[in-house]
Amino acid sequence: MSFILENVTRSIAVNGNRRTLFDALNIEIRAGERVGFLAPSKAGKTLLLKIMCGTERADEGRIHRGMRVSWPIGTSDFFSPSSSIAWNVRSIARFYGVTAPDFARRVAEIGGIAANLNTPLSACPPPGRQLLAWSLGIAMDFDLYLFDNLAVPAKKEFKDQATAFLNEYTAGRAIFVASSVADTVATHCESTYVLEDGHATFYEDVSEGVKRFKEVQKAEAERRKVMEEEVGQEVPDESDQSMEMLGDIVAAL
Amino acid sequence: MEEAIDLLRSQLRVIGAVTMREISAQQAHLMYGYVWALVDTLLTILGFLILRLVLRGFQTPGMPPATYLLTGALPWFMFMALLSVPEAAIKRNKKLLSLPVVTELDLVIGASVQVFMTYTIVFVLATTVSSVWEQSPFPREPLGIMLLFLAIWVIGVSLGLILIPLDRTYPPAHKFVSFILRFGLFVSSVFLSISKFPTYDWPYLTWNPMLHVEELLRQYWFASYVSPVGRPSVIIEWSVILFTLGLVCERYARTRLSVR
Repeated sequence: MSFILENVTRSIAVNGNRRTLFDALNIEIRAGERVGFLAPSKAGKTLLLKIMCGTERADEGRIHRGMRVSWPIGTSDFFSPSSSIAWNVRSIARFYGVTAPDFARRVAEIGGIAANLNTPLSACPPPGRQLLAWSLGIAMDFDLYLFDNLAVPAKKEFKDQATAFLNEYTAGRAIFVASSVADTVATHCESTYVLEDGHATFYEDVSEGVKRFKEVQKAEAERRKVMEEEVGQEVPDESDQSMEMLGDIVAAL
Repeated sequence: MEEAIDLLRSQLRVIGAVTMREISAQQAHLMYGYVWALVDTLLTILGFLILRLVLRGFQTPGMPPATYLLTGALPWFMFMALLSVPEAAIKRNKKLLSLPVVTELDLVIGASVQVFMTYTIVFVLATTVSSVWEQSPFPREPLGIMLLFLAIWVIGVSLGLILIPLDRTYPPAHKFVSFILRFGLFVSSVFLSISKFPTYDWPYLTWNPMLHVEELLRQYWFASYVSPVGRPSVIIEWSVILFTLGLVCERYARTRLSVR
């Protein structure tokens, strides 16, 4: 039982130009593996997760889903804010054939929001939506859980408990954490991929991957600093296209 | 084969979940939510019926007037409602598409099942009341009527799917569609049976599949009425053609045209 991404290529349109996010990407995840994917912000992590679960298409390549794959956990788009937590849980669970009467309560308990079970989502305290998105995701029965950026919610006092729940519910299952935060991957994964210029390199030892990612981040920061000094203005770190344009300006100077 | 059955089962489960979501979302802010959706439809039909009966603007050829009107108006209103379901259901539920198991077609079928159920329930209730009130006999071919309702579902949803690319590329298009449908109301035997039109118009009017549906519906309901034009084969042919075309258009819209 495995999940394979073979030579997947995907580009997006940015201001009328094509920008390649993934160039012949190869990823393999076997049952029970805990794999990370380190990439800078806006490098296309969310898009990759969508391609992996099947809600987005790759331009080229082959995807073999030999497992039941989750949606990108953390996504809360599909919730109806005017409906209660219980209604939202039951409504989404039904899509996956989960009809256990106590499922909504169990999800709410995992997320620490059981007191608000029958409260409309919009009336719940601020992190309610994120906690619900996370707890619903891990409470569902998948073979591969995809996490977008954070493996557990960022709520400070809830972190240890959430990590325990995560380990309990995903025991024996595969997880894939796409993040730009090296520590998140280091904490929850055994191995990792590091994305550089659209290519992913696999590191069997997560600490080596984290080390490489930090080097990449450092080099990127230095490159940006040099550019800023030469151009005399701040260079945003979230747009590769801006970087390319600034590169052209520097070259012209 | 087993894999195909599993896929079909999973698809049906998703469609069922969409239908349940649509039903529970109907008038959710009111107590007895979905019941109000039924009452809404019933009241619309009732208002229409009263208006028609009071105005006496029509003659029923040997059939009890209220039942005659209901057997014409309700299927037509269901067809109209189904026509707008595909694009509206996708727009309303597009956030559900972030779940990998849900496709646009699931949203369309799930929402259209809800509309079908609502109108079928209202049809059964309203025609039962009118039949008792007018002391007219119950339908002589209920199975035929059920099949005609299914045909309306197929034709309505298919036409709705065909309109998706048009709606996404040219949004004002629905204004022209509404105009055509208003015209369609009078030439689909909803109030005026085909015998009210001159026979030289019949070859043109009988291209309309809804005319055949309405004519056959009356024939299957009333023992006294035999339609001079209603043919089941025309309905089947149109259903197959429109359904195929609808699926092609839906696929084209899904891959080439984004939801606005």
